[in-house]
Amino acid sequence: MSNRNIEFGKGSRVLFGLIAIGAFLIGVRYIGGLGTVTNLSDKYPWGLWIGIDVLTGVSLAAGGFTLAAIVHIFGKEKYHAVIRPAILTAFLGYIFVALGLIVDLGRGWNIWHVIFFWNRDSAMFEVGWCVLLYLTILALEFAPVIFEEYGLNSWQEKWGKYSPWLSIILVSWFVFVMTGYPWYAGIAFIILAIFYFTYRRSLPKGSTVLLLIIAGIIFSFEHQSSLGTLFLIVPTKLSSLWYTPYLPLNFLLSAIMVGLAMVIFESSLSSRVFGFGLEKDVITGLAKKLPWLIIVTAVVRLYTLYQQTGFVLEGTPAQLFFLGLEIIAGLLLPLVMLLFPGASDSPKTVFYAAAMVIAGVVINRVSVSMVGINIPDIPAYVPHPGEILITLGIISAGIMTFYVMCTKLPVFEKH
Amino acid sequence: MKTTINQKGFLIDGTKCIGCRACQIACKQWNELPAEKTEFFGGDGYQNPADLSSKTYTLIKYREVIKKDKLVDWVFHKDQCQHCLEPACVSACIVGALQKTAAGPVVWEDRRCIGCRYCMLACPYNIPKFEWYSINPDIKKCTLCSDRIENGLPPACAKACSTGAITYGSRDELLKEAKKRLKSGPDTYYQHIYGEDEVGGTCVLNISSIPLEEFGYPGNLPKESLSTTTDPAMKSIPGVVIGLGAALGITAFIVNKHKKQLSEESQSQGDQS
Ligand code: SF4
Ligand code: SF4
Ligand code: SF4
Repeated sequence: MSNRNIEFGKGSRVLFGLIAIGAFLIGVRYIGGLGTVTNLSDKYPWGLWIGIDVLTGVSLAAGGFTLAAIVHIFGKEKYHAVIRPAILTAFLGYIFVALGLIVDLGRGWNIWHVIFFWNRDSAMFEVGWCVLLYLTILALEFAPVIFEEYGLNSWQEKWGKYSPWLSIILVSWFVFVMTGYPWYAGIAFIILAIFYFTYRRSLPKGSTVLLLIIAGIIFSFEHQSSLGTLFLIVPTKLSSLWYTPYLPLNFLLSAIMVGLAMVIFESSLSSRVFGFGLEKDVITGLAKKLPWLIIVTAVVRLYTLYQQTGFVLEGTPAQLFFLGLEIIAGLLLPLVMLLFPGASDSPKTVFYAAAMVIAGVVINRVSVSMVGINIPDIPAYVPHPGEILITLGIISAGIMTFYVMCTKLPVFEKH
Repeated sequence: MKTTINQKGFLIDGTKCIGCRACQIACKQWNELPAEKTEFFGGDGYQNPADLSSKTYTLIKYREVIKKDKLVDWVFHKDQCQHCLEPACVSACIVGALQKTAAGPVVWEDRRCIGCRYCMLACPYNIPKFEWYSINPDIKKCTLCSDRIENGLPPACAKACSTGAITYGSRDELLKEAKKRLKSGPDTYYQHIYGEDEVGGTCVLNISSIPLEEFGYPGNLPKESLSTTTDPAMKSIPGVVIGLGAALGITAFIVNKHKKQLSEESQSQGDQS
């Protein structure tokens, strides 16, 4: 990677434009209140920002932990080449999710209250802590890339020494915060500490990074599912096309699935943008795993839908349309595409199938948070142009940062 | 929280209401809420303003009962926070800014709120309201005049009501009274006490000549508190974290141990050759 010059082409000018517009509108929002740039109302207090910036953002950042599990836990070294970009995506994804969330909060400057005022009954409380802790873990997972680039060897050493302990402590702390029982936290601490010592004694050097990976996967699991938990409290407001007591499970499974799809999608795209020819083998291998994850997600999704509705589907035309898209275009079609013999060898088929899976999950999250929520007699919520532009601005900022970091830092491995 | 012995509440009897809206005005006065610019005939009936908002904590809703194209009755109902016994809004609030007090009222504490609006989503009656045009927005809703109750005064709206449509008292007594009224007036009342069982029961009990669903109240609410819907997921956290941690840790150990063996074997083979 000798050529590290950033080139800002036409595409980036569009991105910069969107960032500027978004920033301006965020300014307006902080002067006039949320009502000035949104269509949110007392009846529809949540809208596009929760649906896209938060719910969708988090689900698409799932590539980080899905791949970390494949490579580190299940030992599939061959995918090592794509783990850094996946972790960077997750890291930036979460940073921009947090940013979007702060814009959405009426009193974003109070966000630190979550650390001091605890309400264990609240699903939102779990969500808040998961964002905080997983962001810390992602920063730790990504740190070596920066140490490597700037030759910070002493930092790297300290990282090797302390990051496992930090991971253990954060997981135990999370258990304590969520339960209030020190002994539960103690059990978590002891189990993870045992792993740490065992790894140090009998596994190859460097295996202590596994603690960090395990912590990351735990927080991801909890976070993805907790976003589903959020909507359990609205059994009468959320359409039965999406509501189910198993919503957290649906969120978790679809996140794991879309995590893999994102890695495939991104690797195909980045290898084009950055010209680092990935071994085709890598994408093919991942593409072979994707159908299984689709099957699991689809079976649970359809079964819970059946439980809830008996397949007597009722809803507004928009709701039925979104449901159809989610299930047919987002689950069944890509599954069929990938099951054709030899499909996983065709980069094009794989790319489009992954894109469809991603679109399906986006539609699902948008449905649960917006389309599926209907208050009788009140016209459905439709996002305000201001909301859309701010979201686009935040996404553009995310893409831009990703591009700059990939160019400046050793994110893609040399071959 | 389940005990209702000491909890105060209202019995709202729509059949006694004459739609004068003295309560609406009294509420505004006591809580120093600004007037709202309204439009005549904002929706069903003649209610004004059309809905609760950050400036209106209570509202008399109007409904016309039409039978065979003839207006046979005009029914009124007082809309406000129901002060649930186990409120969804309280369980939802991330920082505990909403609290259920021992005396019954559900109140919001300004200092803590982060403005996430999850309480608004969670409330089955869409009660908490938000200041959409404020830089430092509050969550606004009826407080059951907690500040008055604490000082031994009845809530402002109840005091203002001259027809007995709003009775203030202990919930247990009010429930008895409500049952008595339904029994003595089988033709006057629609035979249901809205708030006795809805979402685990509420401090505000409502009776009327028509079902409350006609006033836009949800008719499909469960009998348990809505917080029971998120309970299992929240309770599962320690189990999932510890179980998942153990499973991942063991899998990683087995896989990596195996790999180490393989690489040692291939190394020793390499040494021999
Ligand atoms: S009616 Fe809504 S705002 Fe009032 S206590 Fe119940 S859940 Fe909370
Ligand atoms: S908006 Fe405020 S009161 Fe409502 S749930 Fe969020 S933090 Fe709690
Ligand atoms: S109890 Fe107090 S705050 Fe609630 S409606 Fe009556 S006057 Fe308003």
